[in-house]
Amino acid sequence: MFRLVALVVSMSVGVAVPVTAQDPGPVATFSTRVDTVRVDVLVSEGGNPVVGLQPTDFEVLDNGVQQRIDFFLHSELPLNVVLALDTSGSVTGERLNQLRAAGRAILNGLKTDDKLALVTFGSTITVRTALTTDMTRARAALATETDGGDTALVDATYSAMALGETDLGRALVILFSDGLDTASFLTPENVLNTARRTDAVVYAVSVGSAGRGAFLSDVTQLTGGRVLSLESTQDMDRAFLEILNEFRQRYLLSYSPRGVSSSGWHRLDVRVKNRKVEIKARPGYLVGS
Amino acid sequence: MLAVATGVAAGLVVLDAEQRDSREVLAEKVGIWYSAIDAHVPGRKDLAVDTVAGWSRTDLLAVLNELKKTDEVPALNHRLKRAAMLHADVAMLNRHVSGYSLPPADRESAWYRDGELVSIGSGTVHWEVGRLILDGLKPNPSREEFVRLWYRATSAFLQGWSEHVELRPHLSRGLQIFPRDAMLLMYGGTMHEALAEPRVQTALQVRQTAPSDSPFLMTRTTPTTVQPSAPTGNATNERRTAEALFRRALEMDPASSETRIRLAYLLSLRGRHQEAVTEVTKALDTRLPPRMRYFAFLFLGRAQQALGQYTPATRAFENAALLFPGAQSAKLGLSQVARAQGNRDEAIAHLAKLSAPSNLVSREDPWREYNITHVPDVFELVSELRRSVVP
Repeated sequence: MFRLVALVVSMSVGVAVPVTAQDPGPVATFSTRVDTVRVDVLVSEGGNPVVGLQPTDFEVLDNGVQQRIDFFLHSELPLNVVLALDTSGSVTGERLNQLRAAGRAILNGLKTDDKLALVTFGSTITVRTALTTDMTRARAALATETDGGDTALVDATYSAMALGETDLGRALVILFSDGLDTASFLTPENVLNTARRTDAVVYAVSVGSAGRGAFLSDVTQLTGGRVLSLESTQDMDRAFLEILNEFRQRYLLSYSPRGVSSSGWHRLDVRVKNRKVEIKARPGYLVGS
Repeated sequence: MLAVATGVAAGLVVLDAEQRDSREVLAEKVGIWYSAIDAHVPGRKDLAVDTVAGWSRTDLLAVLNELKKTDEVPALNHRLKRAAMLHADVAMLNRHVSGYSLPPADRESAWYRDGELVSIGSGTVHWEVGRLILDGLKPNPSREEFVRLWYRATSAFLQGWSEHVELRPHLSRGLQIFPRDAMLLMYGGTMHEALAEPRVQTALQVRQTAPSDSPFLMTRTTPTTVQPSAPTGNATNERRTAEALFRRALEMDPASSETRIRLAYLLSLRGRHQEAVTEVTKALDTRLPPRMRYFAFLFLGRAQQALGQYTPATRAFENAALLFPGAQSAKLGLSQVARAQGNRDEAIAHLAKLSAPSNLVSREDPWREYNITHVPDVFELVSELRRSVVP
């Protein structure tokens, strides 16, 4: 476990900052080098997760260049689960109760080392609790008042991704919304850029019009997650648990990039050798701006 | 044959009696209307307001037609201006969060809250009547400063409620009369800018699957409600129109810092960040009220971040946060700049401040009212309009 912790600490990603001719002020400079790349991979066959694979079963190509997998984990690393829940004006009464029940289902499904953060959003964003292993506190946060108003979905997605990356472990964002964005300050383009850089995997549970917008499908696709569109909030606890269980079945691969340029968009191809399986992983990562 | 002739004659007698009756009724109504116009104290929900509030469009057009037959121009113009004030007050004083407590206008409109259809509502005919009244000013409404002020104040009011259904024809007529009025041009730009915002475009997306054929344009009636009516373009087209109107407004009044700030915001959304920086920097060189200064710093930060100028962007967001310490928009900007620089801890620290207790710091965030806020604000303009009405 100690070795594992050391690995995660070394994984901070240096980010390139271009200095343009138009820049009037002093600008900080940052490393354009990425030390380690993490890829969370779900392997499934006929809709069922494939377990028991070994590092040698995988092939990872970074911009077409084959990489050597340095670390490989399956169901071992603690989770950083960030619940980002829409509590805007349209989430009231039974829908709100079902949402809280789904949140409690996640709490019950977490292991001792797992952490949970809770963000709720309406017109504004409220960080109810940052990542914590104190589930009593998390449970109390779930019961607090709602935000009401419009839906700052884009702002909330950014906040959840950023919060999930603060600690050791694998970041899973579970985002619930029943509507499209109506209130955010941050732009979808900017937040999708954050998604291209993050290690967090975003899953979205949508009810109603939320699933019709492009943003949720874009952000989940870019991070290697998916959207679960529900007819009603009745099955929400089941959907949340399905995500948690699915995430635990994922493999975590990491490698130090070799033979590829340091900045720009890196296309990732993850394959399992000699097997016809479905693979879900982020399609790439962005370094620099 | 005789029977038929007798019947026709009898019919004519009845018709004549009906016409006489309706003429008498109209004359009586005109009398009541004149009394209301003369008696109304601007800004007061008095008996005059209550008297005409429930009149139908047909009644109102009929009495207006009678008034226009007056030959004496000074008296006519005086009464028309007071009448326009009365009907604007009828609309403004009967406007509530849930709509107008007035007989419905002809057009029906769907109201949305948080992207979901919540009810069918309606506007009021009194705005249209107000416009028609002012069209009757002689020799031409464009000669009257009162008309300019009326369109400015009432447009600001409609914008304050995001009542785009009415605002569109309102501004259209106002700009026909005053095509070079920088303020009306800016309001027009703001309206199209608002129609491009997610709140409206979201309702459009919801609307695409809604089972109704009524024309569509949304209005926000509360901070969370939108309403459909005439066709609305996609965000790109609406922003293009908004930019053209802002540029025209700046041609007319290059000193309008608010227009410059709004133009900068649009330019940034359209990916022209350096132009946005130039415009907003010019605005920041002038004296600005706190809200406009906040917007200026906010949009400067956003444009500089997009240009990779992280240090100046941080400074801009920090300046914004100093003006409104509880506002989330500036903190989100700060967090994202920190995150873009790879500084995750700082990004998180800014997010932690999003939920500062409201007893320690006001959570007022001007961003939430960006599309309904102007300088001078609606209260000042409406007060000025009311004061301008000659007793």
